[in-house]
Amino acid sequence: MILGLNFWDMLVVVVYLLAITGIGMYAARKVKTVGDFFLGGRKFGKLLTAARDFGIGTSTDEPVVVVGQSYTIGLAGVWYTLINMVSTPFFWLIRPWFRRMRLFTIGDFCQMRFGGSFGYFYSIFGLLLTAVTIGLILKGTSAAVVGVTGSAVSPWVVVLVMALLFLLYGAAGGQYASVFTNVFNAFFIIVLSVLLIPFCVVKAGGFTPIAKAINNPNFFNLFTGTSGDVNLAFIVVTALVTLTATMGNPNVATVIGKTEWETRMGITHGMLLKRFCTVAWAFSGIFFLALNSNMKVPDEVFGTAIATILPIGLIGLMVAAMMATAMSCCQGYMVIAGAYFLENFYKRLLLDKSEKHYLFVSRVASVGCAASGIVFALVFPTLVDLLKYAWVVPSFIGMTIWASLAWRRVNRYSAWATAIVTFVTQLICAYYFKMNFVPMCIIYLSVGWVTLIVVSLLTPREPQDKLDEFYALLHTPIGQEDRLKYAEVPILHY
Amino acid sequence: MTIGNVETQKSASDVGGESKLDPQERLRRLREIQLPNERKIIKHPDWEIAWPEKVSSVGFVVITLICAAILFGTWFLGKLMASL
Repeated sequence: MILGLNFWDMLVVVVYLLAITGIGMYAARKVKTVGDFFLGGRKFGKLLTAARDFGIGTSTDEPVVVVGQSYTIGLAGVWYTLINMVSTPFFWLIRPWFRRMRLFTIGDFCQMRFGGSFGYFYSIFGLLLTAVTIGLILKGTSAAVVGVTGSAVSPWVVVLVMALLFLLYGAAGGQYASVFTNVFNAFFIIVLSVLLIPFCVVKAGGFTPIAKAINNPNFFNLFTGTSGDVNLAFIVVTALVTLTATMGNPNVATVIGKTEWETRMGITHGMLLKRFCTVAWAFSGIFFLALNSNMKVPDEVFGTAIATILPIGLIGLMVAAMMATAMSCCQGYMVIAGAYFLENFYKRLLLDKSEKHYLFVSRVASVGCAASGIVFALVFPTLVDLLKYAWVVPSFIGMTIWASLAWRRVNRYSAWATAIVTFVTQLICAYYFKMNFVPMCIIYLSVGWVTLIVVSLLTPREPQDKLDEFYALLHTPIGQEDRLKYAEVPILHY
Repeated sequence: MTIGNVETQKSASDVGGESKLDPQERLRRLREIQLPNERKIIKHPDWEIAWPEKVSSVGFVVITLICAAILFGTWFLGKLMASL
């Protein structure tokens, strides 16, 4: 045994991780400019865009949470990730809008729509949230891998090995590395999602023995489960929060498709594929319960299931797939974080540097942000708390971004007021009144929308020419840039 | 890289350089390329919601149906397991 794994399993892990790193390093040959590093030059078609969106949208912490929660509360545990499904049809509409904005990040969007200070604020927020996301992914993955190895390896060793590899190829290959490794990984994410099911069913002796072992019909109820945590009100309210938060997510504007068509096809196919995987995770957790009902910590269920159910060789493959999936995802976020730093801070302080200089800074900034994510991996107590936190935060700003796409009256004052008032309301509800998640969300969303509308109506508009530039970009399809050039509308990146 | 017939190289004016046009002329041109009123859902100067293109509305409905089918399938599998 090497670090809790059989020799053959360890061999599979090492070969797989080296292959992923090699692919990432190969991608570095294509990076010549900052645009290549952050967006792959926006040269990608449907398949590569879908693979990248599937990969960056699916991280190892999600099966860890869903398998653990389904094991604990039943089929309703699927909602911990499936709740995002409500956003899927909207991605079909909103991603092309961001493609038409022709920018790098939501920080650029805020800068363009609301001016400097709110743009800086969002960029700091984007950097922080990206680091938290990287921390969440690393923590979840290390917990699962430690579970597989029977705690023979420290979570920090797992975190550091992953970090070392993705920092290496991420800094070199940027978005190209993210796309290429995710194409390779997409297949393994699917394997990772479904592999436990047949082995659990065979080991249990079929579906009927599984149902009899669980012996609780409520356990298979999609909408209630066996815990009070997940119910219809939770699902509806969380769906609303998710839909609002979608627009405030730091990665929503970082689109890599050639045109609107590739962009929307990529994101929706990637996300639909993820929904199928999510359902498979939930059934994996439920089926494993029939074989082992002694687990006390939900986050350890996935790892233990892999270690005790799968044969030699496949355990290694699962560990490798988990680590590589997390690495690709973290690497994608790391590139986005680099874009926030370079485009929204560095370039505004140091203009007129060479492309080579900016490329170097992009790489250093990406590594710096990922490193702070590794620190986050230690701070938060449980994965589920972190997920709830991550759902809520971007919605403070998501409301403003939704409204600003449709209504010219939304301005920097209402953007600031909405973010601050929503944040304070959420804090008061959570810590002073100690409200549950559902009433807290209803209150802060309502207060946020009212603030947005009232302050927008009572304060001065944004300058007319800036608004005209913004909406000209939004309504001009890719390929019709001549119209924008005619009116000298600034374009950040085609 | 070329998108349509436009070469995607940045020029100075592309990245926020000062406009060489007269401010009035620039404003006129900006107005000229705005979303026409007849393509707006709410025909008011403050609102910028365009009627969705066919591909957007059809795609939205299709994806919503696929999502509903995934939910229904999950619910059905749960029911099936509960009945065993």
